[in-house]
Amino acid sequence: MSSNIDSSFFDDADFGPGPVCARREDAKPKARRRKSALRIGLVSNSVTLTRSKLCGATSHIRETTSRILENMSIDLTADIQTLRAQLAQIVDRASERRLRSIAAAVADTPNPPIPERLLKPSDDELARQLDERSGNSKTISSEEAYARLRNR
Amino acid sequence: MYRYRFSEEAYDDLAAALEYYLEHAPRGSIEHFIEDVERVFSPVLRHPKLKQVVPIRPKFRRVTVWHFAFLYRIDEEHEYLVIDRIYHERSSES
Repeated sequence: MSSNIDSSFFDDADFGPGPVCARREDAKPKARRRKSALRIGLVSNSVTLTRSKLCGATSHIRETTSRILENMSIDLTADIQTLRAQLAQIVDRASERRLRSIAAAVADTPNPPIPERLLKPSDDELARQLDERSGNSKTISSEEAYARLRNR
Repeated sequence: MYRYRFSEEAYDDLAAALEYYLEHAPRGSIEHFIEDVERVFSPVLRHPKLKQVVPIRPKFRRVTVWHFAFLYRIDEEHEYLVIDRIYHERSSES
């Protein structure tokens, strides 16, 4: 099974152990701890999740989330109903912005020009063409038509 | 079972439609184009009420392949459908 996990995300060099993950005094020797490390197999490579890497990643996520909430002016001391309402407003605004940008992108995309032969004629002209074409007994089988298309 | 054919002029429409399809369809290849046409016409040809589908005008009926309208009539004598005109549906909106 494929995975989108970027193994570099778990690199100790990026995060290091977070403050809540200080090594215990009685930590087992490194070689022994490795045995209990969680190993995840990926298609192209594999990554070993050690306790310190997981804690580093968790710490990083916690700090990032706090920073984002701070930037959004969310009062983390508010009660849960207020928090929920604030978050709902943010999501609504984000969705609206996203929808507006999609609509603008679609509106800015010009429709490709349609060749004259493929333009729908007026009803009268279409009726005339259909009468003319149906009066012509020469037809091409679908197999022959496709063979001709392939050989063009 | 009925088969389907193209009038000579409709074949030229088909070739123009293919050119447009190759440039603008997400799966732009000849084989995908042919597959799309076959996929639309297969159930039409097998339809038990083939001759009872409401026509858009006397004799002619319409199906849509990708963005193209295919107008066809039924040749009961020879037991085949004949596609007489193909045009881009969007052009009818402008």
